[in-house]
Amino acid sequence: MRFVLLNSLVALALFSATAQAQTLEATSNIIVRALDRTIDFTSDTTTSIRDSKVVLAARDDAASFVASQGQIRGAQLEAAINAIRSQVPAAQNASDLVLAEAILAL
Amino acid sequence: MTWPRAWLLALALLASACSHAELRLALADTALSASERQASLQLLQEALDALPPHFKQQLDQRISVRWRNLPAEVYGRAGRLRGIELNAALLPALSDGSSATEQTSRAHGSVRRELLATVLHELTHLYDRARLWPLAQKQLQHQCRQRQQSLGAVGLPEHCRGQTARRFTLSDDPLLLDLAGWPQYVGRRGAREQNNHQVARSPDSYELSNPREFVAVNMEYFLLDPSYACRRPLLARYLSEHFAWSPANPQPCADGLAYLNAGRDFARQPLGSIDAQRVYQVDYLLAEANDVLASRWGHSMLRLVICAPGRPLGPDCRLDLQEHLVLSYRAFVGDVQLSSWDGLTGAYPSRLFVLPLAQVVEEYTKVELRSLASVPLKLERSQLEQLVTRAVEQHWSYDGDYWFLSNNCAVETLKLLRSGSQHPRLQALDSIMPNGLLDSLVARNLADRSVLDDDAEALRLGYRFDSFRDRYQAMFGVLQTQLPIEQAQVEDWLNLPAAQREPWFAQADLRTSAALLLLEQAALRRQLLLAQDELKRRYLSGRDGADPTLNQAGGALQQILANSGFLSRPAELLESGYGLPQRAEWQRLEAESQARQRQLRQLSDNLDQEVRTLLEPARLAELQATESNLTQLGQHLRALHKAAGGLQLP
Repeated sequence: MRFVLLNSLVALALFSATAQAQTLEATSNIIVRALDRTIDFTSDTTTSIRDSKVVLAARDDAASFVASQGQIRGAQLEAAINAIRSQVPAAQNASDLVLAEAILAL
Repeated sequence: MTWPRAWLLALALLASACSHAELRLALADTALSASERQASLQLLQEALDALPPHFKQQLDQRISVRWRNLPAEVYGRAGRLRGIELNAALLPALSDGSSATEQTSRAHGSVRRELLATVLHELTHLYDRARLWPLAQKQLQHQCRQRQQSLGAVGLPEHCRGQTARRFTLSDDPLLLDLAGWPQYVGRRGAREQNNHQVARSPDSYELSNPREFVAVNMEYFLLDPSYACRRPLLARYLSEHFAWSPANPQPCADGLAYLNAGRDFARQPLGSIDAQRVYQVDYLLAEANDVLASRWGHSMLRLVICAPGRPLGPDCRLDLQEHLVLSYRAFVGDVQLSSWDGLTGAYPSRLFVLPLAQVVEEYTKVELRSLASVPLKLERSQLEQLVTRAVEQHWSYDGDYWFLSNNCAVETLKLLRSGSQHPRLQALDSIMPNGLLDSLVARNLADRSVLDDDAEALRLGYRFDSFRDRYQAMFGVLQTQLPIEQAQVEDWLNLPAAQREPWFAQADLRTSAALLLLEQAALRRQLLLAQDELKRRYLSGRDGADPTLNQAGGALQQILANSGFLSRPAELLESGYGLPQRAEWQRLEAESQARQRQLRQLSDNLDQEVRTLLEPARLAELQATESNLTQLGQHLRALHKAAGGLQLP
């Protein structure tokens, strides 16, 4: 059987009942974010390596690496070191620790 | 003499052409005028022309078609004995040609297109009921029924699930049911869910009534809409494979799969695009459990390892972290408090979010102090790309119910893996706990957990993201060796007032300052959580109007909650079209999502301003003192680095 009329009104009513909602995690995050003044957002289209997302995201990893003398080496630091080495000629021969310190001092 | 003979011969040839297995439509035309007959025959011929050759060969029947008086809301119906009946009320418009221009509010456009769709829809029902399985399918079903008789339901081999009581050509095929939105319940030997939750962006919600109608409705669009393969790629592929045929002149699809990024950065354009061919691997991403009720069993997600632009697919893509996306089924609440009763009884909608990896890593490892394991799935290239496509299909269409126990993130993720990859070893996998699902995937050789064997390497390459709980402990160890502090536990240090930690900064060297920096961040996060808790309690107790100071911030919070729903239900942004959005819809989607995002940004700026004024003065002072400590440490670090002649990044 094929009908002329849609059941769309029923479906629509179902939609709107749940449309006004948000996740549990997001709710908390909205409040934490509103309270937190230290989060800064970075642009996707930056030319300088010190402002790049991949480097800024690595700051906590860089701090852990420097403080633990290389024992804690997270993926975000690894990604940032790769990016710096491939884009900054002066950094190609610098050690991991030197680069981690440079990220930490941004 | 020779002329009649030739005529007879011609007739016989026609008959023999027809007798070799082909569908015939016989119009009951006794009461029709010449123009009505002609228009009807033309309609039926068009329907036959639109059908795949395999369909017509297999449905080797003579089916009668008649116009009848039917209820006004019915276009047509079909039965094994009565054939196809069309609503006679629509015949005049068909025969005078006006039906070709008369528009309906439905997706096919004109009344004539709707009539054509009706014939195809009803023919599909007949095809579906005729049990026209390919030979290999018949053999499989026969074999499975025998196994069922000898071994019973418990001992049935995996590939026999759903094959022992088949009644329809298409609409009870396990794969079709997975794609259509009637997935298996977990742990019930393949029994199917009763309700279809793929409700958003449906071309015709009649398809949701049952699998038979789903197949019939989708055949209409498969055969008549050139954009069907772009909008419902996996169903189009399924039908094309079944019929070994694709409709002529398909529309070219939009580049990439549109999705809405639910990241919390309200300043960026949320509309993004995924190119399945740029996804190197898909990981099962598991957040370790903790003691909070909602996360007691961990959380299951999928991580798309997307390669940076210009990088060839390969292991190097694993570190393109800023490109990676996380697919996460999350429960929704429209309120700041999660009720466990509502969660257990399925009151929360469950939706598929797309989030940036960096945000997920931060939320779990730094805010919730839980570690993440990211284990690559062993999938063939085609399975992987189908899985990505399926995920985006679900992102646009799915609106489920969240049940902590029976339909939690692990179950949702398993359903996505099963319907997306169509991997045979996933068909009979039943697991309802996130960690249990990983074990099952590993046991079936579907996931490679060996990447976690070497702890340091796993951390370096992003197979594991460690909880900052461990890091804070390690940092405190550094502090203890470098500075003569009295505190014996990291908690004691973090519990000190900010003003008592600050005097230590000046004597710290670079290494110690790095440790102090992380610990100061831990102190700040702790203050933020305490402040949040305080606000939640005040907000919940004061919501009935007793506490007017909360109204402004509460209003902003409520509005953010209300307005950010669109990020998880992108279908709200578009009124037209169905399935995956195509080029024509992209512009509207872009404008609409940007406008909503601007509004959110405004609201969150308002909240930023108001929320701090609500804190207790002592809490606010401690928060500000910790922030000032962080600024100082940053300056101290830069000064040390500069004095030592360290490398400056350009």
